[in-house]
Amino acid sequence: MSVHISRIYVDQGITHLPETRAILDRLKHVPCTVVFDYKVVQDEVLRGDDPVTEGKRVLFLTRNKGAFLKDCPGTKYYNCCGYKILHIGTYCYMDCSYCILQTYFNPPVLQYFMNQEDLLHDLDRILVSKQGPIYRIGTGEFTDSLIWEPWTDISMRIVPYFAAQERAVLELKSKTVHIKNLKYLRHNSKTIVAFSINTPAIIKSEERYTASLKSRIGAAAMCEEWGYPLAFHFDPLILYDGCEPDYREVIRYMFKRVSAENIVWISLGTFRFMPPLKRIIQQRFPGSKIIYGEFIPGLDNKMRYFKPLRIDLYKKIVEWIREVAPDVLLYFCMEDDDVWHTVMGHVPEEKGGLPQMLDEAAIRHCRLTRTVS
Amino acid sequence: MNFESRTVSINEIDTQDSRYQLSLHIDTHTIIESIKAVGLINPPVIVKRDDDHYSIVCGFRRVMACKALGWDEIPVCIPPRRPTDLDCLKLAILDNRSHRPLNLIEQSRAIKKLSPFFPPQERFSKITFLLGLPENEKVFKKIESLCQLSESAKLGILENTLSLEAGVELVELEPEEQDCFAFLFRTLKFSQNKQKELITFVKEIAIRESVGIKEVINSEEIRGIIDRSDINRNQKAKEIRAYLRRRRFPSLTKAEAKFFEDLKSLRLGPHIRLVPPPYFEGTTYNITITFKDITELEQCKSEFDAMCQNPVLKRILS
Repeated sequence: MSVHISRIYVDQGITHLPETRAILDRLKHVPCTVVFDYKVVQDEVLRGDDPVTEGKRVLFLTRNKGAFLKDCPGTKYYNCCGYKILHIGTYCYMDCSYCILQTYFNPPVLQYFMNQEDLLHDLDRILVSKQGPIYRIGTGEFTDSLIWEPWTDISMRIVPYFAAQERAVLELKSKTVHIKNLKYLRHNSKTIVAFSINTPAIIKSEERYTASLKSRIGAAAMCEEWGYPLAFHFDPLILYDGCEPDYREVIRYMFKRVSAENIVWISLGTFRFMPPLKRIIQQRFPGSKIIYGEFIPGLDNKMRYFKPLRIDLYKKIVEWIREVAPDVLLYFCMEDDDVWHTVMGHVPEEKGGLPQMLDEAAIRHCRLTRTVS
Repeated sequence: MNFESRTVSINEIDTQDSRYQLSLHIDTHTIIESIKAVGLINPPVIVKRDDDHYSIVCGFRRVMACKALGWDEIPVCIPPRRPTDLDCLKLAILDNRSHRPLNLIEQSRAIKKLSPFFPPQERFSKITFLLGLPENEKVFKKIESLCQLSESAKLGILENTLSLEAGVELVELEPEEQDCFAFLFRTLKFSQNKQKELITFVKEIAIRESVGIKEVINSEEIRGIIDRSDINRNQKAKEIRAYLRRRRFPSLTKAEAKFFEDLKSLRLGPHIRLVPPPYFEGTTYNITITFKDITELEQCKSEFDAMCQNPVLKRILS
């Protein structure tokens, strides 16, 4: 995996923070500019022919002026897992063809938020009381959770924070193998280390600068050794000639390396995308074929595989996982009751809803305490 | 500018020199008749080159027509001092625009010829002004790109069988591939949207199936439809579109066909319409009942009841 940060911009309001100095020390070979206005960074990124790529090379250390905790942007029709996003930064230096972040931010910029006291304060507000609902909180929605590890102390701050409470789990979701910092942290099983998984063919053709499948599974096995609960996300599942034996082999290999008992959940989601992403993939990944599947407009306005095709693949993957791990919680990311019923034989509502199903799994694996508020 | 009027030998004019030529083809047919009838009213503008031959600035058709009529000499206008290439191009554009609007291909050629004379930051504004184009950079870029089309695709633009939007979609293709589309659109008239849709279907089928674009367009199925004598041009266009859609979306179109087959088995009259969820993604079906009076409504009710009892409906909804 190669990282090419060509320039660092530092918001003048955070230059005095010791954490800022620490990051700059770790990236001292990269030229750095202090800026008073985000617009300077935006203009720099937008100046080139390919702002999506440029945004991956420019690191902006700044302050998050908004909320650190956000709701996962689900939609009404499809069942959403209802987890909360911990907004530690934006974008990613890895380059996946299908990445929604290419169109999500305008322009997309690799931003890291330095005001982590505010982040912890936001967490305190919902977690300080011993009473209250269970929370599943993840950092891997607007960025990859672990890309920041080589430069920052983020895991050293938030993993022990979560270890010290009993109402929430933190999910760190990644395609990297930057797990070194996790080794000696007190996690108290409250941090789930999760990996996005795909076939070696898809990783090679669509996930530039990410770790190989073997490395990801190897990292998962290592985290399991360190006592961390695990999760896996088969998302996006992509249909291509020969995808079925490939996915079957991924599953076989995964369960050869990690134990089903330590997996909190496995999510499944077929490739879906907002229509503007198609043009970006065509321009930035001219060799990619993933947008030429049988996509139809979904009820959330995203393009999705025609439903019977999704169901067909899901059925097989669920069957293959069930063969080796019958008790692991499997769930679909953004699918409707029809898909759930056809593939799983039940709809989330029958089990209290998807958020509750996931909460139960978190309680079981991460030793959370359910309390009545 | 005061031009010098004089007569030059027609052989001294290099009719192959197209540096200031904006039109794609020089059609001399109508102008020959005019010159025969009233003579050459408006002499062409030419400039002398270093090799003592002349380049045509304005009046390609006039020079070609006179040549075709066998004239040895031709009255011309020559600028007093040798103008720059940019001045000549401006003159050519203004001369053409003075008696008709430039067509899309002429605009595209003009943009290409003018571009080297302006710095990038001024190129758009200066050229749109000269050509009288709307100040819309997107449209400007689309027109500019037409220059890269093959000759037959350009002809399609001129004949209006290929739309600007569709032409832009073809630019990235090989010339032979562009020719295939130009032929298809010339043979069967498609609306602008259908042209774009067809190009997208063909491109995506080619990528999905790892075959060439020519292979898709020249497939037996498409050739078979074009050659059919029992259907008209519109029907052929419809058939080709349906064929490409089936090939691009095999599972979806199969499901649609199955639905319509089942719908037939329901034997619904003209007053009841059953509509599936779009793309079969949702689970909500719609029924529309239209009626004029109570009698018709009651008739619809019987039909509706019969439909509800029909096992085919269960199959559709399962």
